[in-house]
Amino acid sequence: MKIGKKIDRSLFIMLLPAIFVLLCLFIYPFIFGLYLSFTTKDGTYTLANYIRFFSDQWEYRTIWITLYISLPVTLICVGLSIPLAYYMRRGIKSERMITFFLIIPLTLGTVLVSQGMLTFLGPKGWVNQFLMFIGIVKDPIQFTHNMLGVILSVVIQNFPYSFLMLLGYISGISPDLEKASQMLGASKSQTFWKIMFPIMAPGVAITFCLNFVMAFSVYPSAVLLGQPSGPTRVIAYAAYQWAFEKYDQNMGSTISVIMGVIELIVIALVLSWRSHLQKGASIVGKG
Amino acid sequence: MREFNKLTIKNLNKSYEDFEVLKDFNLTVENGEFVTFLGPSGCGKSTALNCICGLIPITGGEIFADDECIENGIDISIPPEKRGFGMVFQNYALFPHLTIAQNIAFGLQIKKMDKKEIGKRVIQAIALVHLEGQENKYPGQLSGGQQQRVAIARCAVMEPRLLMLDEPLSNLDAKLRVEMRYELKALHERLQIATIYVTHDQQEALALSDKIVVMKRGKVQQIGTPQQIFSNPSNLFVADFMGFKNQWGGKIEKIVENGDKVDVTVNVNGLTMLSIIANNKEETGRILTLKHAFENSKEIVTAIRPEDITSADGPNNCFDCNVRIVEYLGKTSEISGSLQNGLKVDARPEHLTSSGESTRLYIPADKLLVFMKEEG
Repeated sequence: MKIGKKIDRSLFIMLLPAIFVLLCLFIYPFIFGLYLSFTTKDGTYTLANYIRFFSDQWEYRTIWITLYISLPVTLICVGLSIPLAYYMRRGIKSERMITFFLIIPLTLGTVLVSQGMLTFLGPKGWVNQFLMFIGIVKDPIQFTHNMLGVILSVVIQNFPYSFLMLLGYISGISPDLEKASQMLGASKSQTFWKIMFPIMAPGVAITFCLNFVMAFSVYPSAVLLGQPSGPTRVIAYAAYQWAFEKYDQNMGSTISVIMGVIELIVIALVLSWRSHLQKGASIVGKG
Repeated sequence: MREFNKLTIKNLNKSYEDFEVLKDFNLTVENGEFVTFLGPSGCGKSTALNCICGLIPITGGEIFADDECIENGIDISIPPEKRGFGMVFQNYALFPHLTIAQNIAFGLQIKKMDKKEIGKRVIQAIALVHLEGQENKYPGQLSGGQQQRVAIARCAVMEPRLLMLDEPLSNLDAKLRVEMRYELKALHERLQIATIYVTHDQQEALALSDKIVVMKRGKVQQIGTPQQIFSNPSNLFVADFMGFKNQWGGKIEKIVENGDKVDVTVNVNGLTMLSIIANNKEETGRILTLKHAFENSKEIVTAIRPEDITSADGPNNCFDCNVRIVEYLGKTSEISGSLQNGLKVDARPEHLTSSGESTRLYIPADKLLVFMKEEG
């Protein structure tokens, strides 16, 4: 037992640099932000910032606007990723190509992709030209500077993340589980719903959470492809405005804290769904 | 249990593009028989198993369950779930999100069996593999040996007409492997289900089987009882796999038929050794091949197990050996040394020696086998 304690102590010392960095870069700013949100400019404690946010419709509706973007985006991304990743779980011929094209948008950064999307989805863009060419629509559809544009562009930006995450998770499940299920008489759909999906569920839940957090903090797309002055004034934009346009750091921090709390609520809901679905099995069936 | 008398495999072939994994595989499995596919990794034994249960499509040949063709590589291919075969996988393939009882009940639930009946059968299956009290645990909470039992119970509860086990013991440690081997044997005695067992371990194959199929690079090398395979391997590959560690190349000097025996005199690198083969039906093929090799003065290989070489002195097949290494094995010691002509020899003589000494070895003529040199 003595030896065990010694090892623990030396491990702790080796952890110190990491703890220091975490303290400086994450925990201190977080606590400072929390402190700012509960104070006025001259430092007296107050709940006024929160009351102000929730009593002003212009402010609190940013929550609904952001949820209105991030929930459909996340559902679409995860919903598309599950069948695609499941189909590709044993590898297919052009897998490298597909992965390559999925990773490109990740490497370019959101601003460049949003800029590109602006032209691509615009009235004279390829999408509209194509739709008019095959005769589905007569006049160009308004894809940009509205909610639809923001949702589309965030889906395109987030899809690679959810797909790659799920592919990694699903292809890690032993193929023998499927074979075993089949040998016991289960059809393909029974195998998917009774065996594979419950085993995939933790991965799906985590993918959903990460994607939701990414979509909920949407900023460049909402500004470039939406109407940040009105219908797509997302919560991150509101925080930015307060902090750097109106120079009210306290209010900016308040909005950031509210943003974090909402994300935590959604994550808690998703994780409780997961644990409701399957109790006690966090083990992936690896070979 | 469904009526089932025998499984017949005729000229089974499986190839991936140009690569032949299985070539002209023929086998019959009678009801209640325990058949083992034995061979080194990559010999096609697991592929053969997967072909029989329908998880891998075949490229030629036919598989019959009694008189019903279940796959012919052209237009008939009954899906695995309809064949009534059970399979135990090497890594057990237990469903990690289901409890032990749920794992065992899974197949019965798919069959839409009555709930009470399922409960009864699950309890029976759990008792069969001695896992009482573990019903509500998850696979991750069990040891390797226990998981193995669950996998077997999950199969047995379906009352398959053929049970297939793909290297089921290879993930267990040595002690547990012997225990589970014993239990598998006991289970087979009780259930009397036709069983196909895949392994690369000759001890397991010998201990469990009624019939062993030795395979190499997709081709069947020998089919026989454990006794036949062990004492009378049909070629050098099987002999090597069965522990014929001493293999010496040479040429046949003469073959003399001697009543119910055939004496084969072999020149091994200057030493003359005698091999005696029984002159009966079973050995006719071997004797003919050796005669042919003699007439064409082809190279042959003589082989013998270390444990068959003794310290006795006799009129022939006695040689002096310079001992180089002595390995203590408990009951005996295995020595490694060289004969007068420099030939390397491994033996387990009764006389204790130490390295550097010289000892006299006797190679029993009836234990020394003569094989054709392996081509390729």
